[in-house]
Amino acid sequence: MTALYATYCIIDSDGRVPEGITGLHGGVVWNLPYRGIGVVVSLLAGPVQDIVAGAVQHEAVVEQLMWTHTVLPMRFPTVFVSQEAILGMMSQRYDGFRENLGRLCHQVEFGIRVLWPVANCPAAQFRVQVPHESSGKQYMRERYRQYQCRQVLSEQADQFGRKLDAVLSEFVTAKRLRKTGAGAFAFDGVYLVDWDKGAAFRRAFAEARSCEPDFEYLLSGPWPPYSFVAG
Amino acid sequence: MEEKVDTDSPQAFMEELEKLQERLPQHIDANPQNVEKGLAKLVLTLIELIRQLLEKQAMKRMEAGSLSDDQIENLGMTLMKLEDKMKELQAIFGLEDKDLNINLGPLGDLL
Repeated sequence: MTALYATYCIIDSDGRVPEGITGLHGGVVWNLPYRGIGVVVSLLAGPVQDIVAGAVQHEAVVEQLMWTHTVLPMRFPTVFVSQEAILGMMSQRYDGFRENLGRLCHQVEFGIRVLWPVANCPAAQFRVQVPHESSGKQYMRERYRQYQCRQVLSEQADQFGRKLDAVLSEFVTAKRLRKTGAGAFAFDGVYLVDWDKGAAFRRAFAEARSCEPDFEYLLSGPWPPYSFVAG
Repeated sequence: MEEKVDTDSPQAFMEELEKLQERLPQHIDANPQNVEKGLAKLVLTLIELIRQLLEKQAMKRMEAGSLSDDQIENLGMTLMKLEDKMKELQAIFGLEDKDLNINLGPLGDLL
């Protein structure tokens, strides 16, 4: 069977990557250089059967490399049939890779998600189903009540999000905030943070959390800048 | 900076994140066995979008007080019947409420 090449990420170096990083199918990972940057690859004996395990292994490679390089994660699975094909891709997209590597140099991503306090869970407010033997007016009244609940929750989420974001923004280079509306999350965002400001970002988050202790928080990171690679 | 995840409520977040995972974009698996279901999912999602838009418009008009009692009754009956019909069609094609959505990539979910 012809060997295939699994690709993991673009890095800001044409030198060697640290030894001992294992890729898909246990393959040795190495850097294929191209004009001062590189693409990290490993040989693949055949198709990846276990997609979940494969995706985890793919991300594990990228996350190990983020400690030593600026990385642009590639989507799993990105597979090429030859080194020439990989270099062709590098040639086509070189300028974009350079721009991204420059912009994301020394930056990591943090994710923040906040759940509503259990007592104020939106799902609890929408649980009442309209009885189907009801009249059109009853149906509309119940729908209107749910509509108003959603409006209120959406406004509360916006207010909460603005406050939290204001505290964190001081330490970030860029951010992506998802509109949460009246969904399960009161806040859902990712932040691009300079490595050196990571600890300060965490402290600011801890302080914001202690000011609103009824909500339930999740902070994750540092991650490779998954959400901030352009193009 | 070594810790990856920091939360007081791992179980609550696991549950919500698992729900999100179910809505990740999926490939269209077009084969003779499920082509009808795939099409039904697409069509019903679009109908659900229109139904939600109609309902939202009706709510706004109720809020503005621009609907008479008769109009509210008529609209209510129409939306209720539409919802019933949707449930019927969902049952025929084995689709749940959470299936009626389309992931629009960076724009998020349609519904």
